[in-house]
Amino acid sequence: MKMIQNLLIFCLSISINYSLDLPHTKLSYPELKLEIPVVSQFKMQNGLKVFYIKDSTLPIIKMALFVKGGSFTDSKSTIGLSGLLSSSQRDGGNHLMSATNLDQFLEERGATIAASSSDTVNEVSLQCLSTDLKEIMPLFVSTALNPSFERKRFEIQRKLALEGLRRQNDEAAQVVRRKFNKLIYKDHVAGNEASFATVSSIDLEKVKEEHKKRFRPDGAQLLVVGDIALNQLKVLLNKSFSKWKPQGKENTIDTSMNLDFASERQYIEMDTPQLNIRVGHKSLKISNPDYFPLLIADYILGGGGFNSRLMQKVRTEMGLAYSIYSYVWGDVYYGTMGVYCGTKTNGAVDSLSEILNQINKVRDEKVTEAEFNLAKNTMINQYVFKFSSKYQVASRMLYFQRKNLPDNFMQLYLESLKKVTIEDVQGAAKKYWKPESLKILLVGKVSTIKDALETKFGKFKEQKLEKAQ
Amino acid sequence: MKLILFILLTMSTHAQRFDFVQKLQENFERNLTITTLDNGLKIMIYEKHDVPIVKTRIGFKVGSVDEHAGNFGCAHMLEHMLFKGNKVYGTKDLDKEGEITKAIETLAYKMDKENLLEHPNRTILKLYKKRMKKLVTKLNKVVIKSPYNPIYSQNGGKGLNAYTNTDNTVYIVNIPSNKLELWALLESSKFTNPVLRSYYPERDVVIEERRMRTDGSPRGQLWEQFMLSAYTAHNYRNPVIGFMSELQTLAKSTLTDFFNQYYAPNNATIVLVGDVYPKQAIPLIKKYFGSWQAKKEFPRTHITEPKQLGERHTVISSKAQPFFYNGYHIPKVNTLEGSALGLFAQTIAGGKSSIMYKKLVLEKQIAASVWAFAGAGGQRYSPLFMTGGSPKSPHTNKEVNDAIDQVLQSVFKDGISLDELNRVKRRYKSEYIYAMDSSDNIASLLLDNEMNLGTYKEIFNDLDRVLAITPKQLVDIAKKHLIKSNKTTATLETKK
Repeated sequence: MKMIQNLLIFCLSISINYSLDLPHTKLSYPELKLEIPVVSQFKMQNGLKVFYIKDSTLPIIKMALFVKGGSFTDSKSTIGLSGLLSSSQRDGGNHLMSATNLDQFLEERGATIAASSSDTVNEVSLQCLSTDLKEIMPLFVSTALNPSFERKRFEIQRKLALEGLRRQNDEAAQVVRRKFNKLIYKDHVAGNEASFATVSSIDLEKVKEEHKKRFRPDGAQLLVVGDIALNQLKVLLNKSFSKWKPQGKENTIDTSMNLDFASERQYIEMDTPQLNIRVGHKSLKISNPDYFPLLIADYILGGGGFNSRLMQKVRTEMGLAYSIYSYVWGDVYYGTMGVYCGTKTNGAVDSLSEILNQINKVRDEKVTEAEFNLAKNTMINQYVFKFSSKYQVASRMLYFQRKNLPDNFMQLYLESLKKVTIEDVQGAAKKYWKPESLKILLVGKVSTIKDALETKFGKFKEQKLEKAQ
Repeated sequence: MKLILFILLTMSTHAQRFDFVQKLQENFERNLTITTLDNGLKIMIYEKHDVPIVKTRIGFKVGSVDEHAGNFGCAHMLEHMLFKGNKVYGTKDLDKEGEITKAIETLAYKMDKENLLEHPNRTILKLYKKRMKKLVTKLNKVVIKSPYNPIYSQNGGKGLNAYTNTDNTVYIVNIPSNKLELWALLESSKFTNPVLRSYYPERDVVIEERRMRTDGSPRGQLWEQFMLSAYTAHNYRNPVIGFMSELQTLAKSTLTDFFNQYYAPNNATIVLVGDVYPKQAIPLIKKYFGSWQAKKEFPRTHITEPKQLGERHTVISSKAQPFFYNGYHIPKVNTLEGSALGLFAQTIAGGKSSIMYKKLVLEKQIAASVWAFAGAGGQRYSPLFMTGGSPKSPHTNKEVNDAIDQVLQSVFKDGISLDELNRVKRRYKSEYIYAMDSSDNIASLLLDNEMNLGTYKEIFNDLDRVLAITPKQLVDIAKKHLIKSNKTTATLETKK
């Protein structure tokens, strides 16, 4: 067993200077002591890696099993396969219990077994009272490794997935999010959109085959947090997972990405009283050292809520929006920067103009000392919230390993933030934010403002929304 | 298992105390300290020392239910405005700010008056707008926008926010536990002597919020129409955010009056959950909130919703896919019948093993979703029992709604087995334990029950009532309230 983190005590006390002599500046505070829980890690003989923290606050157990897979592994003709695999995996019963009995057995105990998928993993999770673990554990394992995929339940799940597609254009804010993602990632797997054709083409055999391919112990991770001692857990896991055999070479996922930086301006016409704006382009990965100064630049632009320029200007000063924010999102495979704003239709030109103006300003002019200190101190002093629960700490460790980030990434995060200078912020914004490459998508009654919009920003191309079938 | 047998043996028609609940409550109360200051401010502290964080809530017993025509939307608008600071926080020059604000208010009064005319003069309005823009630009130079945010943020505070619903307005911030005094200082500044500055741009922000949550959202639109139809007289009918036409001309003086009526320590409850010690926290709260003056009384509505005399049906037409809501008037949630209907909702629609899901989603395969919930509307007054769902194409709202009715009728006719009921009760008990896993949940439970139902003990009383209910009682209560003449339906139909 490897003890990954020693028990650390962080004393967070950053001095803050205020120019105004306000009452709170006279306060002094005791030191804050943060004890970071230790995540125990061990590998089972079949390759399954376990991450564990004991938590006896309540008689509850939480587990989650992750295997390589996720939507990135769906082929172009079967986009939606990952989601359907997950929903029918849980919904279709397992080798120990039929779907109907499983639903009833879990629900009467208030227990949950759930299956889901994200970009590069498929997950099966469990929450139950520790007193119920003995009888629920075999069901959790069987759902993950030996699901029955009852045909009737599979067909229902596929039809529900199609119904979901039918309803995906009901809200403009959802449409702009989904279509902007597509505009950025295009044909890369991150831009995959399920359609009636792809979901309809997925049959039960394909789902079963995919399950077999993805659910293997080599490369799998198991998270356990709750009211169980380590020695008991080891006995339980040996009993539960020892028959799960590795298949040799781990699954690999192609995440290589070569996104274009070409500027694009598009719109989707929708009859809605607000105009939804998204602006952005691809950006740097989380492993890039410039990620941290860029986080601070983003905080100043629109990531810092009411402390940010976009919120102050477009919402508070101009009263044009209720919701406006920016983000810098860095995965290990790809990253994006972007801005969202929901505004009244005749406020769209002014809002978009201000968004572009503020992106340029953060790039072209040095941010003020006050803004820089506010952003940096906030991120450092809010560090304690990254350890709000033991589950959060353990699942993050697991995430870091999955993404090939170092185990001490949280410490590096803190240290890297502390090192950022005001010059680094502008440097990173200048290097990675490219106004000439921004992609812009508007969703709403664009036709009513099209002339004013195009006079100011140039031609916008209409994108037609697929019709519900 | 032993515990379940015990429960079965001790069931009766009267509310009683169950061992399980007794122990749950004792464990809960071991961490809880409650005190009330001389000015009536109630303080509830729940200790949880695992992480050096405190979740703070300050709740006021004022929501849209306390509004009437003329001040609709005030509770929510005030929630926005109280983040603007006071005479100390939020200004660079109070005198200059006062001068400009006065000019803005005179102009705003004229603008609103013009806007209220049947045929407003567009030329004059354009001129006013131009003047207003200039004045607001001047004002922006002397005010500090969102003055509390940077102070909290730099000190590690997170999630500074607030919400308003029909019953309450609640102010939230999570802080590192060593910053409790900062919280007490800033929050007391927020409520004891606020300056409602930069009102008119904020009014526009709230108008945008309404466009986002209601006018631009099919779910928001149907909800508003549903509540307006289900309640004909009681104030739960009013949309929390207010009506667009009234928001557009809501005067600042109306807000000030509303603030003066409802914001007082004896109408407020503070809840702290986390790494906090009452011996340290209570003196701090006393220091900062102790001089806040109590008020004699708070205006409350005396309107009771008249008995519904027949089924109602509202339809809206939209480009969105179809879905619907049903509502039935029921007694308050802290009554035997209220608790029973909560249990009934869980029994017929709680999860995939429920009769409603099994019939409509798995067997008939006509619905994408179905659900039931008791307590919609609010907690302070009589709420609604709701059912709802969305049809799976090519099926219709009517088919799904008829099928829900059939499920109800079959339950009324055949009853609920003891076995089935006990399964739901067992789940109820587990869910009480899960609820304690989150500090946010604990804070909400404490605040809601104390403010709306009179005591936090209702968290546990509800479980006692639920565990004592028999299958016959449950069905009889449901049968009494879930009748056609008490039903309101709102459906969204897709425009062809």
